Amino acid sequence: MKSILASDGKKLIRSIAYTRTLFAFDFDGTLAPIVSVPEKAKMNASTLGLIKKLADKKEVAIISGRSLHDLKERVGFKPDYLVGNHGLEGIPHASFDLKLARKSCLSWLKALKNHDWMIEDKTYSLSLHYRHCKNKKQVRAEMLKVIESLQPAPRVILGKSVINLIPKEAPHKGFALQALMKDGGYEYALFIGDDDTDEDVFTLKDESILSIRVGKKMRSSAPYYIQTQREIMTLLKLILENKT
Amino acid sequence: VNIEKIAQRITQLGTQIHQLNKTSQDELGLSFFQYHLLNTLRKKPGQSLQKLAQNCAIHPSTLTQSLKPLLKRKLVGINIHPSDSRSKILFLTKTGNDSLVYFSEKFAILNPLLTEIKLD
Repeated sequence: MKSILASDGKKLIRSIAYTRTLFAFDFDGTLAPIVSVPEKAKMNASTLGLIKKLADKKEVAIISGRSLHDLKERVGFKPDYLVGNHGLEGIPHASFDLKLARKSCLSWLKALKNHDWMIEDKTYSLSLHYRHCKNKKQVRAEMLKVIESLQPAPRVILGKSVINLIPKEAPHKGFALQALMKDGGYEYALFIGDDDTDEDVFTLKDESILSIRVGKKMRSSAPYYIQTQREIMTLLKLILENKT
Repeated sequence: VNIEKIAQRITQLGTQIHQLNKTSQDELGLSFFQYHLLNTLRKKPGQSLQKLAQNCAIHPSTLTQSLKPLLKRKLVGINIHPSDSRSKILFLTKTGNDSLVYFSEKFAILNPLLTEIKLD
């Protein structure tokens, strides 16, 4: 894994100016810093200004685990594509049956109702948060034990103090990004994300996608990283410096 | 099958293609093969040597030789692969992109030679 802001990485970023690139970003932990209460997450003024500038010049997508409704209200500008629920909402011409996803979520909610957990119902997926808990490890283990018995069995994606429950057959972020590229006829995409759900993009090993992770992690399949969320501003500035 | 005619036409085509490539290189700065190579790299920056050879449908050893003049002219840049320090990745430089743009803009001067070859 190499830093995209090192000399070699910068050269590569410059070279993507010559191809028709879709610039895709995760939201929480990437464009916006992680906060203790998910409802309070937002981009800082500088990041918002930079991404708006980028969206004026290039095509921009935001692919998040949040519901599409929540995401629309939170981003503060109008990107070319907004994809919510880890790829379940916002993909043009998607064929996945959202009613089935809702049905699964309702079954899970029913099975989880007796637990005093912070459950975020995102209509087509659920997020179980434990950031606020004192004994995070223990709560996480308890959650995972209960999740094992859920029917229909969900796809479980562990995040930063959150467990995401997604219908098994649902499209993921990698599928979503490739669908957007196909829809817009993009030759190339840059994707940056910070969490385990973003590994669905990183593991694609698609030569048309430049994957960057927020935070260096040896187990990640992303070839490049930025050190911290704040470095997103440096990366956006670098992309904006590119002139075709 | 008239083997004599086929042999004559293929020899003639070889000469015409050689002439076309020479003119293209002299007048536009790139041969058709170099254009194809740079354009494939433009579309997908960061390809490994093996991938680029595969995408250009050529043998990796041919690619290594073909890349030398392009690297020397700084039309192509080379980095160490981010996940494998033994291999390298390639990308188009600004000079490389300028060369592609120039080639496309001036391409019409090759029309007489292309008409002679009758590509269709």
